[in-house]
Amino acid sequence: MIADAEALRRRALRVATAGWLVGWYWKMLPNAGHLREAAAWPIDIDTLPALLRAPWLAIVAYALPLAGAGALFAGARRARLAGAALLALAAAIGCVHVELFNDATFVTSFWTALWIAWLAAASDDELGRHGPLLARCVVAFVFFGGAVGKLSGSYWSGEVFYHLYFEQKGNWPYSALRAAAADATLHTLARWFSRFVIGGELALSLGPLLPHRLYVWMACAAIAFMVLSSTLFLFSVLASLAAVLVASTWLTRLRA
Amino acid sequence: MLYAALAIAAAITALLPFSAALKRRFLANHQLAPPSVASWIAIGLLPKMYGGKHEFWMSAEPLTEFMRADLRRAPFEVAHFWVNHSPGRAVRLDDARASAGSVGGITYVRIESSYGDEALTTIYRVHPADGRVVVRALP
Repeated sequence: MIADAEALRRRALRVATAGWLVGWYWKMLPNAGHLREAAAWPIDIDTLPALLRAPWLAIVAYALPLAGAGALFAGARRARLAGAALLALAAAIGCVHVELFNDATFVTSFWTALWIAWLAAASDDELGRHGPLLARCVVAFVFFGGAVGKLSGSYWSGEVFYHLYFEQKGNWPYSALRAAAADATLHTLARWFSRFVIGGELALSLGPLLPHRLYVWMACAAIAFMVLSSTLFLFSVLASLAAVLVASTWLTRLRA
Repeated sequence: MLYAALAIAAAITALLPFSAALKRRFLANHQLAPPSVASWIAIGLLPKMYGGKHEFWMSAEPLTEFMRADLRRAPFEVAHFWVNHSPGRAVRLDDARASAGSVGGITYVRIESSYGDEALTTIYRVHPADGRVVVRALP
């Protein structure tokens, strides 16, 4: 089985990196427009250092994964490690740059890039033992962060989701619900929708404790639900999570 | 190594509902008002999407508490939005940045966030000057 390790590693790296890139560039057109505007009118805010306000850094960070992915797809071990490091560096910059910080794509990309870096660096005998578990830990941690942020009265009551989705969103089904249902009904729907989301995210936080294939199915179903119930743009945030889970499933073949 | 990084990050995240200091840092990050660069980076790397309650108001003149309580009292136009996270993004004016830059007017952005028993309000004055969008928090 160990003889197949390098081939499985390459396949897993390619799948994880390809999915990661799909998420990263999913909103390429709006992001390109935003960065063009940022270059023309840079933000000057004194709470952040000049580097984290520099439009050139945001533009370089956004383009950087192309080079990183090239190394991951084509290179030998050192090149793959450098490629994965570039993905993580680009995502880390995205998390803290004034022009990009609000997009959760960069947070999920950062933690999944660390898994890709681990995959590039791990020894053959570690792949099967730790790869799938680490992938579940990464995805579970991201959902745990989402769940903890909602452990408050304003989410439990549905107030936040009422305003964000049932009142503000212009797309289906929210526009149709507004037209068809009374405000009190919308509040009730928002309350149960919110509790369902909190419960779902807490369940997905249990990834390290669940069988791998069950968790992959659960997480991918949750990702599909989240994208369909919110906006297709959300795929940019979640694609890298789905990609590492799917990629890590190949590594289960290496378990003794 | 990755196990350790995840364990530390998850432990910090798990502390959020119980630590007032962490809640304040969490809210400050959402509002682009971190107490330090180190805090900005550390909190910035943690997953916090759809976390906390966030609203912002944009207007050409400062929004007083009296007007904030009922926007119909404001004798000027006020745009009000709820956002899932990172309401500090509002100070970038995003789609309107170029037009705001060419017109040269001042925009006041009031941001309110809360999580549990902690709340934070920051009011920013945003105006284009010398080819930049200058953002300053009001005292």
